[in-house]
Amino acid sequence: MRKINALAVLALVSIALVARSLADESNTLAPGVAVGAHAPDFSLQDQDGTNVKLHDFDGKIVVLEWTNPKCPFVLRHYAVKTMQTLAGQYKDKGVTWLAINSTAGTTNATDKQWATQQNIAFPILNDVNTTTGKAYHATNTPEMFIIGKDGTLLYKGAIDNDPDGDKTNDKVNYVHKALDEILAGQTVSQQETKPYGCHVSYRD
Amino acid sequence: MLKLRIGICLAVLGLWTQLAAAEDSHVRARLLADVSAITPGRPFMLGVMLSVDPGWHVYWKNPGDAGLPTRVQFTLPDGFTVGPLLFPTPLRIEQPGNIVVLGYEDSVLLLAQVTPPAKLPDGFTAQFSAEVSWLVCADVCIPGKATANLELGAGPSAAPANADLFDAATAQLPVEAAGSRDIAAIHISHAEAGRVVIQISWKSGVPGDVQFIPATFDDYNITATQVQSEGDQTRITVNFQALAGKKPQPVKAQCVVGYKDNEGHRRGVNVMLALP
Repeated sequence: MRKINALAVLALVSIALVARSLADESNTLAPGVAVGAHAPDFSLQDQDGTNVKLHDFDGKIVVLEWTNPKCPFVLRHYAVKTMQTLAGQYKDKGVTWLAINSTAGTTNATDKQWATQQNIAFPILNDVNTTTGKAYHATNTPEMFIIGKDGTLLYKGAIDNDPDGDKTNDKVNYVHKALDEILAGQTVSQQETKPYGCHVSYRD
Repeated sequence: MLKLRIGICLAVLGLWTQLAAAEDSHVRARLLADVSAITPGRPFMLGVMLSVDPGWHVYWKNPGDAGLPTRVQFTLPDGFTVGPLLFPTPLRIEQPGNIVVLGYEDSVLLLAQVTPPAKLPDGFTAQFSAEVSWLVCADVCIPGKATANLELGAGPSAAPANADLFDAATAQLPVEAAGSRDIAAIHISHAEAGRVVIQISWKSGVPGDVQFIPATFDDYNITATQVQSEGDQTRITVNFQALAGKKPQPVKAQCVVGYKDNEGHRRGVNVMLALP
């Protein structure tokens, strides 16, 4: 009896291990959050030390903007007010704009300084501990995620199609386009693009 | 002067110019040739030598998960033509947060073949210039550009110049598997179910630092790569996923398998990946 029990346990353990490794494989194969999946919750402090959770905005459209005040791509956009304008434009349409700063060395104070310098009206969330950046697999600054009212990820990728900042006629702001489609009740036509920018400079 | 475009120059926007002119650009660019004088009608190599400060890197033609490709625009005299910019096998640099970029630390010599016209006047002096633009990163990133110049006279028999530098860079260019002195065979599986497998048989044992260097696939993300070696074999599993909402057309792009040979020199072999 003992021998059979041991074999049964061994068999069950083996099946469990294989099932777990298959599950792990699928988790590690595509890091981050797929479009269509539920956007992971987070709880981070903004530049005033206020705790902000994604969950606070259930029923609203949320735009996440990965940022780094030292990144030239971010600086270029902020100089021409790309993010500020979009955030302001869609604020009254039920869209919440949240910047997230996963850069090593970030403090609430440095985020506050940046907000004051750039006259930023939206929260800048301190992800110096890297958990949220890694949950979303944010790789670039800037990098954009749009979350629908039901908490589903609807868009991820670049802010626009212009990494060199020199396009004229053929410039497309993907976030602007996606938000208009979402607000009109349409499926987002371009759900994922490749982000461009500096690498997110995680502490570890 | 005939201007030939072989890359796209970074636009000069106010902020970018300021940053490029900053004293500590962390990159120095020089223009070299592998000949001491030009022989009419005989092709020679130009090389753009980029020296990068320790702790910083510049990028390959496909930068990877972040960054910008290094670009060169050559200016040549009338009648001279230049081939495509050739990139030595880059490093696969893994940064915190599972970010993979492709580029160069320390230094790199980017190569291009120049063909002079069949006839040149006596005493002819050629002016070459290379406008180089880059993004150089450590923790922070700084865009930069520089123009490097070279003057060469014409002569009946051109002695080699900078042979060590050009030989080393040429040896670091990716080669076809058939022409590789280190590889016995490469087999690439059919790409399906989000994965393609590259099986390499090495002629004399697995070399060091075997890395997979992906090309850019516009409609696909390379989501994960595993490199496993045993005996004389390396198995590289490349996982890919179409961008959300896209049904891509079949596409092929030249990837590279990089490694370090017995003498510690970086080498690479081309691997054409066909995604469905």
